[in-house]
Amino acid sequence: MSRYLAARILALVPAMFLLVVFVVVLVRLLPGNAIDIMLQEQVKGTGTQRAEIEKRMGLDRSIPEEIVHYSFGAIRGDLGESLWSQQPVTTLIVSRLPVTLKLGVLALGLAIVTGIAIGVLSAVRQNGPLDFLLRSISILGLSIPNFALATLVIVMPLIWWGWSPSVIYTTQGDNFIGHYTQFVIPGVILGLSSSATLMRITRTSMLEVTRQDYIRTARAKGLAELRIIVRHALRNALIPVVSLLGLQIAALVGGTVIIETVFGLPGIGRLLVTSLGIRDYPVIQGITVMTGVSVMLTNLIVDLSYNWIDPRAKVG
Amino acid sequence: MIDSTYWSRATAGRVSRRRLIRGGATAGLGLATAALIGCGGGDEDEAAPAATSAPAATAAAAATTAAAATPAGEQIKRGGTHHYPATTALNDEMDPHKSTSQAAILWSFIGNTGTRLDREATKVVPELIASWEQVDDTTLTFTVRDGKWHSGRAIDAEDAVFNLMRISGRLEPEQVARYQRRTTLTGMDSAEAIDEKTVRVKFTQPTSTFLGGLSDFRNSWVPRDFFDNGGDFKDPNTLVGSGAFAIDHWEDEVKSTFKRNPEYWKTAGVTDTWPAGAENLPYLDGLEIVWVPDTTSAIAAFAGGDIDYILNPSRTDRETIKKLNAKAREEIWPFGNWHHWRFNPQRKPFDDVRVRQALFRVPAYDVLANEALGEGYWNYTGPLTAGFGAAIPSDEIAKMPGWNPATKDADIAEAKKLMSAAGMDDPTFDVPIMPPSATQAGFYFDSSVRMIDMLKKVWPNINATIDLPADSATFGKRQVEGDFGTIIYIIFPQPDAVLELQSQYLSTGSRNYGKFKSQEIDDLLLKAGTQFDSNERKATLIEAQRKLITDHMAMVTIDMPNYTAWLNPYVKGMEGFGGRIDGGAYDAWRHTEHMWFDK
Amino acid sequence: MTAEHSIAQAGSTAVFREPGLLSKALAQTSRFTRRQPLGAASAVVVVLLVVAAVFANVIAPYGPNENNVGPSLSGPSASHLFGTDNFGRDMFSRVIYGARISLYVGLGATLISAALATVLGAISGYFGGPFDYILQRFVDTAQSIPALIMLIGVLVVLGPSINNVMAAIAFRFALSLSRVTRGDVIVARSTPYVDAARSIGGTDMRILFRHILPNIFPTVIVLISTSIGVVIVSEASLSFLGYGVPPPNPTWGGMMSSSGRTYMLIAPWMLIAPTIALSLVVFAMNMLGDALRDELDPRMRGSR
Repeated sequence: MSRYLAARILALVPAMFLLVVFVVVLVRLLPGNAIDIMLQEQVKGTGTQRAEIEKRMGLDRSIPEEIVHYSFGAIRGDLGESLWSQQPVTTLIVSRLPVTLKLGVLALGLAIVTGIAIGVLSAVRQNGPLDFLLRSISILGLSIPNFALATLVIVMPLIWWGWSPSVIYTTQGDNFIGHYTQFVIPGVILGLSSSATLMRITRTSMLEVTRQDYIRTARAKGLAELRIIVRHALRNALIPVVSLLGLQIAALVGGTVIIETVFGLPGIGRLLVTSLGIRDYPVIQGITVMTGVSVMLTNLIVDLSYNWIDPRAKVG
Repeated sequence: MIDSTYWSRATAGRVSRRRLIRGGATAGLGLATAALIGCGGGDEDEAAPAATSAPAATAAAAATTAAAATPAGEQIKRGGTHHYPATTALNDEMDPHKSTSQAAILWSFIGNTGTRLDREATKVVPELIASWEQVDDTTLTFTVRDGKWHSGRAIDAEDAVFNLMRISGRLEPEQVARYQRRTTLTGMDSAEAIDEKTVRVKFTQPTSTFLGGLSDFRNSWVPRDFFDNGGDFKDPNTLVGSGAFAIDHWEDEVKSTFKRNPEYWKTAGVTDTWPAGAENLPYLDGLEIVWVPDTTSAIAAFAGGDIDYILNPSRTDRETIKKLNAKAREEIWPFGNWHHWRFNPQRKPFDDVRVRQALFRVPAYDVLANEALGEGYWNYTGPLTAGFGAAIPSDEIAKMPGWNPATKDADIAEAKKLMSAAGMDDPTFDVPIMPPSATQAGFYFDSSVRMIDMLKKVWPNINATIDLPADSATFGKRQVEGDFGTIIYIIFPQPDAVLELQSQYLSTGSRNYGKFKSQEIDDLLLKAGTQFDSNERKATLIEAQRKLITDHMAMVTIDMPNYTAWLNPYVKGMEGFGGRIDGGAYDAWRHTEHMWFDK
Repeated sequence: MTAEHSIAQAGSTAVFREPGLLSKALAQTSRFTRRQPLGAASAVVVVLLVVAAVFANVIAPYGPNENNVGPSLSGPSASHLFGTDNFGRDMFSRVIYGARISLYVGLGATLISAALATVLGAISGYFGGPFDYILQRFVDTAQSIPALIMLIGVLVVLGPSINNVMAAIAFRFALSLSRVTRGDVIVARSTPYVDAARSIGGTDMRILFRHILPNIFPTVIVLISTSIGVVIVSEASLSFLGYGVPPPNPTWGGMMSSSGRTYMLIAPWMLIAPTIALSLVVFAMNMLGDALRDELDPRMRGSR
């Protein structure tokens, strides 16, 4: 077990390094850089002056130099400064994180609760009308792209009643209740696809588990069905569900890019898109690397707990 | 009136003022990708709000504005908070002298420039510079306004010198390239304070552009002790200006608030740039920039009274406004932005003027403009934007071949002849048209689609296609590097007719992206730059424009859109404020100091 | 929006069984219809999609980019079933042609990624060793970056085109899917059947092609059927942010994004028609995928 733990943690090092390499290389390959944008009004005769600016911004480093420089900085918790606002990237991320976290936690919580509930019900009533109905609704949530759903939620009331949910961001200080309620609609929409994913895996897993011998034994012993499902089946069925959490977090962060855009929420998804437009390399790198590392760590924790919870799980 | 004799001779200055660079990026919505580059204004892409673009400096001509701004009998009410909707992040450079556009919204509220242009863009009017005197051809003295910075200190001559030095990049020589307005002060040799309020500026050569250059809406003045007092452009909360409002709290993409500057220097009779009788500006207690995801959301909030005005909505957004907010009032004025279809004469077959002339004659520009902007929302323009008095007027352009809808059939016949003369009876070459972003709706993209259709009707085998850049930053890069066949885009004019034409058509012009080159045009434009007599200057410019149209056609000027502002009925003090050059959003922001609420 | 959705499905599909089910195809179809009515209905929708895509030029009354075939921005009518857009193009024709692009990108990206995932998974799972270790680190990395974000970055670099969008999606999904195929290969590799083949002197190649690959085939089928929908939604999401298949290609995602949104208040059909088309197809693909999984997964059968 400790050997496995060591191997897993060790495997994170090359993966994180690859992450940095990938992100740094990709960012440098983007057409145009921040200086192109900063100097666009005086494009003439800036050859030598430009080198000076590149140097000050650290854009004169070659890609390998940047990878090394960035990696050492990241280890110390220094993700650099925005090329534009010159704020430390960590400060920017920290200021935007609460919005994304509130949105993400709401979405994930909702996804877990509804996904598992529908998955269990659907499995218990496999191929019955309830199964078909619940699954259809759930899969429908996965099938309508979240940007389309979000648009419809805003636009349809506007067409019908000339009113739409306010999308002016409300701070916690301005209006405590308003601050939290503004996350409800976006959170629900963001959570839909994750909910469907979790529903499917729960259902599959429940179907498998309920065919295992020990469930049959439990049934033979005459235990109440509800008790069998909750105490015996569900517990085991949830293992693969838990193992997906890391990937769900990655999926949700991807979704926040769209949801924060549509609903005007100042989170890291929106910051990322904005930074991409002005080629703010350190911010793009910082957000991507931070997300990547969080997902990897979540996967590690999930993986370890998974092995711990279920000793039968194969190590490898 | 402070119209010096000098200024009655020279209508404007040699200002190098670049157009605005932030286009509203727009992925999907109007907002998703913060793009930049370009400038914008007058298009759905950049729709109303914020960083959208269209600049302005301007000052309304005293008489007109005064009459319009305070309709008889209305009692101005004080108080209230203005809400302005921004759709994109304002997270880049906040140093007004380095910024290409972003800082301008903020500085439009908290700052002032040295001078401004009047509404008709015919002369420079005072702002922080209260009066001036042209001592000789290479010496100018000016007096600084009696006023205070937000810090409470009086504005003095040393402040003026500091700003002149800073705008021209001399205070940070190793980063001089970052000072994006340094060429607005071209020709300035030295500046010194000769007493507490007076500055003497020496020029290396006769320079008529200095005061006009200072009117660039981004040339806001910063107090000389800004850095010493802990000011830091990294943190907008520390910014200090001289404007009607002072920063209260800045939080990008969340909410930013400004409060009334109780010691604002503008009181009745101080300058001619605002309504007569105005006193103790501003009337509002403060203002807030709120962020909304897109124009539709902004319009919904506007209808609900959460937002006070919408700037330059697109044609479809206007329909939405009428539907949702029937009481909204429209301000509309001609504004010097111009849409164009630029050829790259470095590439075959666009190097052949006959091909350019042939291509120019085919599209129906009235159709393009009517479809994208709506009837009554645009004007014809030639190579020099019709915003300038020295331009060939709109109605004359409207009767010229190529633009004139009535002669379209004859023009197309002529186009075919020209193409044949260029050796192509049945042209099959590529005509890649590059719009500024991947946004699928908006002037550039829609017009590209229509132009392709029009070209193919005349030459079925011509390979006209949309050459879509990955995003706005990519577009900017490709434009600057001349990596395009043709471009469809918009230009925000410089505040001087000569500078405007030079930037586009001079062989060394900074915005001459297709590297168009003509000795004849170079000679004319350089000559105009040395002419102090406004009539002589105009004659030279008109000659250059005619030659550009008949002999060169380096690019097609499609139209000059009107600018609009849609105001809730309780919003007062914003009547008739738009300027022909330097108008648009910045006009509105600067004019907020006159806004008051009747509610 | 992620390949992980498909993996979630396929993760539990490790199967081992003899190939050669073709003879039973007919019987199975009827059985499938009886046991999976939703799946069967979905199959019909998918068939309709394929028909629409293949015969778009026959079904659609107008070309997808033919301007001014009717008054612009007119609502649904007998002559224009789904109305017209701002260029006076027929929305019905555009939606039909949109099926072609959605299918091309959806199926194309899925097949490429499945093929790539099978090869990577087979090599990685069967041989193990350094290649396996390195590849898995790549997969760890790829999966840690949200797919949408990675695709945006890659597409800005590559530039917009149908094939670039397809290739970028295919590559990103392949990395994720390879983990599933790898898992199945590892399971298959350790079965007595393969041990026996090896003991009688079967070469690695022979074992891979004759024994292992056929046995991960059901997994791959399920991966494909559950991925197509995800790919189509991914393309649409990219279009929404401005990085998808470039206009004027009539993609559903594109129609739903900027042009649809621009005119949504005065011509809602421009937004609604493609939204319904896309959602219906993705829904059908997902339901079909689920039904196939229910049927193909041996651990699922024998219930009821």
